[in-house]
Amino acid sequence: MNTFQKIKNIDIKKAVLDKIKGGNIKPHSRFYFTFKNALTVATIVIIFLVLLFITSFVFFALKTSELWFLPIFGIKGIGILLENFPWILVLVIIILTALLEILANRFNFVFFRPLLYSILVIAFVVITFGFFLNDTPLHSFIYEKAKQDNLAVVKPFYDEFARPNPIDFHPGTVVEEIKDNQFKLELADRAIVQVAISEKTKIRKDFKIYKGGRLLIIGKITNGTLEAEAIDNAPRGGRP
Amino acid sequence: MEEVSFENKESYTDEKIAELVSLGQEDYFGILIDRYKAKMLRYARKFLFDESSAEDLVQDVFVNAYINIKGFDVSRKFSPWLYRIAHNAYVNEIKKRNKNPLVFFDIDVFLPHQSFKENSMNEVENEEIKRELEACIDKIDIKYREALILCYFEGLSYKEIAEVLHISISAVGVRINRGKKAIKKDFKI
Repeated sequence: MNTFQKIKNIDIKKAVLDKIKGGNIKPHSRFYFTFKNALTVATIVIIFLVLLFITSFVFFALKTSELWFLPIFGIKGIGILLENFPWILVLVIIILTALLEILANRFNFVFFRPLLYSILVIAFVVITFGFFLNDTPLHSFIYEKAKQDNLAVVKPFYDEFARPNPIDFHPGTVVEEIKDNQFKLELADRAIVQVAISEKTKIRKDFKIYKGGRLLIIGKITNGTLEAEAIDNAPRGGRP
Repeated sequence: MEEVSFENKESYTDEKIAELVSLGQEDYFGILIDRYKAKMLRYARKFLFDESSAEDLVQDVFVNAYINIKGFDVSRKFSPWLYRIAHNAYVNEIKKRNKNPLVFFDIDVFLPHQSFKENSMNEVENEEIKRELEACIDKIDIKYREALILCYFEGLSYKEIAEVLHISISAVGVRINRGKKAIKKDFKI
């Protein structure tokens, strides 16, 4: 070490100690750090709960709109599902997960391992608990309450995602017996459409259409008639 | 408050001194400065290639360390904590100066990797790496450069480097190994 560096090094010590003794710098109190840590943990908990709520809502929306039964129609059904998937909520989930990861990365038990692990843990916990939460009456209760009290933000939010109008997918209830390959179906919005079955309609051989039956139909509505491309029963666990 | 004789100060660990400073015995902070100023300066000079601002930055590092001393967990090692403060200060300085912003997302931090053996080389090999690193440090990518500096010049373990850089231990191994390969490649040219 040369003399110049030595002098400069001594200056660093002197400069810092002078600042301390002169009262120019003061250490933050222990309360400051406790509060900061508590705030971080509280933010993590809040983000986690919001994440859980939104994830369970995605399950609820898919179930209520009966979109999650679409894969029974094969590739066509999966295509319609992807088209109508609540991607905006998925984006919000991704952003919140990233935020959660950034905050959790302050703790060494998180950053000591690859980010992928913690993201997988977050995803697993959120999806598992979100799935179970969706099975509780939470969302149905909120939705009913929102409809009754016409709640400003909640009702449009639930309406938007839980009651979408997917193009080409029409779950509903048969309200009139089949006659000349046609029957009437009441849709989720209470509208009634005429359903026409043709040779092109994919339907199981032993399939029975009866009044009061819950059906899932893929097809286009033209001039008030739904030209059915595929029909299947709505499995249990769909729209309440 | 514990009364400590200055005559025994050299026998105290960094953590003990940090604890005393946090309890209000601010004079002891000078001991920590004495112990770390040369290391902090070396780290700054090798990381930033700037003699002129290194002293100012190191001063800021110690000021920040003093301000945050009560947040230091005395059950953990002091040096990675101080190096973390220095890392933040130096990275901020690079961000201020650099026209090219630092890359925030690093796939190596994201993915798991095979674990690299730590200190698997002997003294001679270590010295050789240090010499080569000294010669071509400015040509090495910043993310590999810092890991190499902390490993070979500052003598930090992979776990301590992970603590400083807030990345996984396996990512430290990847950076050091890729950095070493870059050095070798540079020397062959």
